[in-house]
Amino acid sequence: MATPHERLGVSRSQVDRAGSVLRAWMATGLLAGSAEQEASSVLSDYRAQFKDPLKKVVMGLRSAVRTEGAQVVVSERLKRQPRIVGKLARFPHMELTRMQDIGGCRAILDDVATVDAVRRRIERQKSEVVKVDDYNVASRSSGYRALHVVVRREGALIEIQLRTLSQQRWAMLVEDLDGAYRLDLKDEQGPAEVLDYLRVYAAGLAEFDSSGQVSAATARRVRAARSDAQRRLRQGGME
Amino acid sequence: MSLVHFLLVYDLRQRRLIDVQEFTDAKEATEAYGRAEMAHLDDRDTEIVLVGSDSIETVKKTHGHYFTAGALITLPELAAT
Repeated sequence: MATPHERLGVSRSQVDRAGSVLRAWMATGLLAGSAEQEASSVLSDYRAQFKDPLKKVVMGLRSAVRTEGAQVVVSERLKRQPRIVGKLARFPHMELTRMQDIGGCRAILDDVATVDAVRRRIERQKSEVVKVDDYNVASRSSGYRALHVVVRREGALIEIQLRTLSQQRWAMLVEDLDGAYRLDLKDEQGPAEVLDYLRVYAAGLAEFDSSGQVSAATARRVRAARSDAQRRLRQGGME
Repeated sequence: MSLVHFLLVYDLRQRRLIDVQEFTDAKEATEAYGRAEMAHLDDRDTEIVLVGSDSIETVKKTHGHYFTAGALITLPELAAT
């Protein structure tokens, strides 16, 4: 099956070169010139090649969720260019054609048990499972939890994110804070107190997800971390 | 089940969506996404994203932060149960 760059009719190195041009441009902070516009156009055309395989993976995901008897809350997206370029900048050795989440989809599910059940259904589907990152077992250092499955469909890598309602609430808070204070907490850049609060709050939500309860000690930890984070946001003139 | 694509344009300064375009043709949507991003290549104050789903209501659940008003963010607590 043709890979996305083959379908586009360009070589792998042409796509990776476009990625390198945009990565270097980002470091300069200068306005885009003709080389950057050209690279952006290549990236946009390359990304468009993920549309059809993504659609098929989404149909499979919807079917897995429905068969599990859960409400279907599923969306898909092609990764935003600034996020793609930002990721290339954060991982200097990553090549654009190796990126695994240019095409991605997300399901919001009630609880971790449903997440695991949907995952098992996905693993029996037509797409080849390339990688499973279970951040419910080992969360990211930011506190982020979810289950990510990378599949290969029609030669393209597509990422499936399965999140519980609590995990989605947490992720939305991070996005909200990033937007409101122009931070990059999503990539763990920002005031230590705020990052710490997000970690503690995520752990509390996970406790609730797994046991249906929040202990008094956890509630206290969240309250303390929250008050430090609020103080820090105010000090920075950010609240 | 036909998916709809929503091209969302979010102003980070005003913290609100300033444009939502709806597409039933995925190819058209993808092309419009690329054009909109190119037009805002140097603009760090605008976020443009293309989200496909069964309805805008679902997008509000999966990509809710684009729909929250510009109110100050309150950091949530967790109550002990």
